[in-house]
Amino acid sequence: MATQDGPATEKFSFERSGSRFSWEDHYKPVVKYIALGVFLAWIMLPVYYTGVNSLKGPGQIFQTAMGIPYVTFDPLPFGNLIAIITGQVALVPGSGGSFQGLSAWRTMWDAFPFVEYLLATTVVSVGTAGLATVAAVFSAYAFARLDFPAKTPLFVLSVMGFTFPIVLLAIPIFVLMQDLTLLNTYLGMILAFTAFTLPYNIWLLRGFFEDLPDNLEESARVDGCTQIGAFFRVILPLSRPAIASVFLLAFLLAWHNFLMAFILGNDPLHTTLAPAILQLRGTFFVKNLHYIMAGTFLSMFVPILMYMYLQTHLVEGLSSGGGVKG
Amino acid sequence: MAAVDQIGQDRGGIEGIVDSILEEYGGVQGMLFLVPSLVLLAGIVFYPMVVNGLVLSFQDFTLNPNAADPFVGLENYQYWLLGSGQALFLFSVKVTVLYELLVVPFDLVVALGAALLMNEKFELPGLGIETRAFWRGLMLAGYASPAIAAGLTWGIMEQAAEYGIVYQAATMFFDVPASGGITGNRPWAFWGVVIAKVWRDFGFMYVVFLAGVQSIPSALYEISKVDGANPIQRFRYITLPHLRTVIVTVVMIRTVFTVGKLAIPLATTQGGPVNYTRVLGLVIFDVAFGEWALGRAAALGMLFAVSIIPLILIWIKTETEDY
Repeated sequence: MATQDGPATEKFSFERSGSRFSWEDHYKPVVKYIALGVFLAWIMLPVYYTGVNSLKGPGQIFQTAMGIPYVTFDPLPFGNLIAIITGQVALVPGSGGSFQGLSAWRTMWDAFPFVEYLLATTVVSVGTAGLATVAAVFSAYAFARLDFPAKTPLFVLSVMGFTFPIVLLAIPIFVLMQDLTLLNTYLGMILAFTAFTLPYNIWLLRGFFEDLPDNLEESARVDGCTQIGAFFRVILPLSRPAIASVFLLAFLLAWHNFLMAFILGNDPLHTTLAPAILQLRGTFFVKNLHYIMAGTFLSMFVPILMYMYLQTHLVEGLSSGGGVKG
Repeated sequence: MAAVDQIGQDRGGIEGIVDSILEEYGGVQGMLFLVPSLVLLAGIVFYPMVVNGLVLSFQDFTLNPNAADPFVGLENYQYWLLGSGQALFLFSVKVTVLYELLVVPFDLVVALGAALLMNEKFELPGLGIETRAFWRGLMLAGYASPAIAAGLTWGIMEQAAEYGIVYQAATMFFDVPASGGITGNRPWAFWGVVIAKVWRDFGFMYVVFLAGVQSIPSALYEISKVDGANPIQRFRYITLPHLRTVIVTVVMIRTVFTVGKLAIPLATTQGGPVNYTRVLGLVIFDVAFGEWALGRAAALGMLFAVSIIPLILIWIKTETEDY
């Protein structure tokens, strides 16, 4: 562009770009796409690696770790297709490793109670997020918009559980749950997960409530609302999206937590996916690496899809919560 | 709320007195809002921390729930500070500090780069379709993955084997020993864990920075272009000053929240080779749930808690400053 500028605009073009080839017009588009490529290669590497290798047969990963498995068709193409769909047969190995259909996933499914883990994870995550969000809405509102004695010390106490590393909470909570005979129960896990999601939710929601206009309650009370009425009729409906994203973040925090789930549950029905993945390493050693790949891939893929689908909610929750406001 | 108080003060006479009493009760009402969360926290954080955690650190834990745990005084603390656990304790403190000092700055640089990149437009040439939202979502792939899955995958890719593709790529540039690969040799294992950790964690900072970058008025950049500022100057004098408070806050959050984490080192290297990547959190985890020496682990946890209190206080001070 700079080279096409006539004498009339010379003053501006001179100031805009020191050389004839400006950064904006010539280098930036190229650098931009190269940078995107490098970033995505790094970010997608584990996802691609586990995904591709989960489709290969035993030992194929030793021949080629990065190759895409493909099918060399034999004279009976339908046989191949059926074998792929049912996942029964190892097909003619090609350079990319033989295509195993979803047999690695299926074997892992059979040997490893994946569905049970998924179910337990969902129950615990929903329970935790529900409990933590409901309790947090009230106290976050009080911390953000009400005045009462000892407010700051109470706030510090309330968020302390989140600033403390979970490993420090894990031992006392384990002993407590053992005393209450709540090991290997959903209730025990939900309560334990709430120990660190509740402070987080209070902290995030306080930020949201503080951002609401100052005179909301005042207007509501002029219109005849009580203080609690103002909270239920004005503040809560206004912050529904914020509450939704905080619920979602608590859900994912519970979904991803490894430590608490590891110590509180050891039977498949009552532990979550995160510690189950670690067990994959023990269950399938090097020879059956493709099973580990299948399990790891599934455990990453589900939340990645959720993140991509619910991106705007999550981004809103993460970025406008207390403390991280610009 | 200050606004509510003003209404009370505006009215005179008996109504004013009633309102001021209500105001007093308004304070108590505010505390009523705290009841559900304080009851929960008292039951699952404060009570176990004090009764089970602190007391346990003075006891010798026995696995039999019916037998009482005998009190051993300061023996557990003595074990870590003066006894045979001292070497491991001091070494893992060193590992934890080094880990923090590498992970947090790397996180910051990668996340800032990703945020600036994702603020650009990515139109498909000729078609005019904007693909930015899709790439923005993919950037969160690491953050969406469970830490254990991330660590496990990076650990497998870093092994010295046919399938260890990261190891094989690394041997092209560095002299990584063939026995043990990245995860089994001293200087390399640390970098192996750091890469996995940054891959897993940078998404949080990226999201915050992206929101920050988007809130900078684009007019500023246009004016600076007219004034002849180059891209580096624009970053230095417009982007960075705008993000300064966000960067400080987020670095603090990351520092506090990285300090006790153990899933990535556990899944990637299991703390090895020897103890080279065994962060303090992993030591507590191993002693507690590997050796079942819960008393000892609780004592180490208490030492850990005391040592990070300054960090937490700084964070809380900035959090409550705007009150």
